[in-house]
Amino acid sequence: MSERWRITARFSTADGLRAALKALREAGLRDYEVFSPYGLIEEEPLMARRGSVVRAFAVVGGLVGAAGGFALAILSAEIYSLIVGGKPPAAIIPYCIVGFELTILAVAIFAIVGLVMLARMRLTALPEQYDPGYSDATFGLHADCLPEQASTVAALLRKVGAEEVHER
Amino acid sequence: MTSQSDAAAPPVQSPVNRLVLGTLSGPSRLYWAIVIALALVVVIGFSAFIYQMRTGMGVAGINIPVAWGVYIVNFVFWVGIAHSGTLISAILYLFRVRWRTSIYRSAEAMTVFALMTAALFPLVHLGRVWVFYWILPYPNNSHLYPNFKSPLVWDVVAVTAYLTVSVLFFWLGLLPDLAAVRDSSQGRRRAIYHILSLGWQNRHEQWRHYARAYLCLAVLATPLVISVHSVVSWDFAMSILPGWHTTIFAPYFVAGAIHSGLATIIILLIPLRKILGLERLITVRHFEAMAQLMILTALVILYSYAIEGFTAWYSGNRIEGQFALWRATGPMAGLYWSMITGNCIVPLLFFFKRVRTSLPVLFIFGLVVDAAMWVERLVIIKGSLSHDFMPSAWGRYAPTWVEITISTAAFAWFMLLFLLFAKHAPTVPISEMKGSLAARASAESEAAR
Repeated sequence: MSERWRITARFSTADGLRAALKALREAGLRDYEVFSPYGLIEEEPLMARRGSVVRAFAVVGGLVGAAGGFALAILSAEIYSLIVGGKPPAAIIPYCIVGFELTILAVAIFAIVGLVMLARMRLTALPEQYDPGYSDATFGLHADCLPEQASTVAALLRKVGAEEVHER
Repeated sequence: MTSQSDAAAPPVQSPVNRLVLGTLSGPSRLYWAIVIALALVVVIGFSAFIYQMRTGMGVAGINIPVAWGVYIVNFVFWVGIAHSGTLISAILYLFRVRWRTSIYRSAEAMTVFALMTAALFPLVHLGRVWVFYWILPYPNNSHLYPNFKSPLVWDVVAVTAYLTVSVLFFWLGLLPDLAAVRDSSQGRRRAIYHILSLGWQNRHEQWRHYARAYLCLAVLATPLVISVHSVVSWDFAMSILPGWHTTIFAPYFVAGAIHSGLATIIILLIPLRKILGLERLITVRHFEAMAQLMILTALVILYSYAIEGFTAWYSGNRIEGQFALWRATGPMAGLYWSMITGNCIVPLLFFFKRVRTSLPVLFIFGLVVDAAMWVERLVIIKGSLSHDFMPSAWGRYAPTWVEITISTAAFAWFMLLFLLFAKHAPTVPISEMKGSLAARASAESEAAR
């Protein structure tokens, strides 16, 4: 596998970043990562990956929560089997409330776990090329390319208005 | 912890970052004086609680027939306060209401802290608090398990779920902003915010999952908020006491909860924007929008009060009828009519633009609504317990100094948490505010073309 070069470009506006993304796609480059101070969801068509499977985590959470809620209430009633209010020990209608609340609780927990896993959030040190300006007013584009493409990509990014371009 | 932990923080460029992160700078002496004063009140309240535990529940005014007193009043009141935070952060998010952006962070913080306050009161009320874990379903030698058919156990499940989801939702919203604080800090502070933000890097890969997770939690929080106060109302409505056993309780409690929560967020934000210099981000327009929402909730509550009276009369149930009459004309009449005035009549003055755009008036009306909502909880709880079916079972209730001290300390605890939050986390969502400003600028440039 040949060595890859990383071109880092910084923009002061989302429009500049948008233009750079379009230019890179037109040049046939797909291997890049984008950094922005706020979510650029409308830019998704220009990104390498779209959508998210966080919802799948949420669905699994919902099933686990609902099953867990009903199981908790029913099994507790089976162990401590008392007739209360003329209802059978395992009374489904009042247990719907327990099932509902635990469904929501589990969906929320699973969605957060999904986010942490899918977004690869780690407590390790920030990468060297991370710019603190990304949480302020700087938009970043880290593009990986072959060494022979590096100067062309860097020139392309400068042309569309990148304020800073670094090659390494 | 971070690779640049010892490097100097770069100068802040974005005006939103500058304004919001500037509020986290060194607190003034006045801030610390207020924090210490509030902490002192909390310590006094905790001492009263210790006294109650050591001496016994007899030091509180609750007794048969009024076995639920101001502790349960406070619990219902604080759970209610929590609700408008979720309304503003989740429900208005789903409806894409733009004005929520500046205020939802404070509203969410209010939700979390109000729930942390509410959750104390069942424990305070419990008496033998050291065996509180008996209410949890765990394998034990006595084979005693909670009765999941009981509304009180539903309450435990619902409030625990609501507190957990609210904390997760609050942290999720804060995540990019905690990273912004980290990126503008150095040393230990930077390391702490790095942990709190879980190494957030503002990558698109993170943003796209973040957006879905946020939407997911907003969608969930909406039915949750409605279910929780419905469950709280069923603590009462599932019994057969006159004044409690009515199907209107759930929607009436939810509307009341949102009503008092909106009043509280107004009370909190008016001084906060002044102290932190956030007048440009939290404008009179935001308060006006909340006041307009309060007109709606006030009308729903007025309708509920009217329907309560109508049902008592038209049902032909003599017990219900005499109870409704007693509540409106008996010894509790003063409290009853003050709750109607404070909750329904006063907020209707928000129909006048001059009233709803005057911050001093909004602040005072917010206090009136919160006081009236607390009184409403007292009228509901004390009223039905002290005046049920049989005259031989009627009784009286007045809180003792222990209950009053603990209740006062709860207000101080809530304010203390909110003050600590205001100086340690961005009170206005930085990333969402920038996104919203960029979207507005883009729409304006499109329109100009």
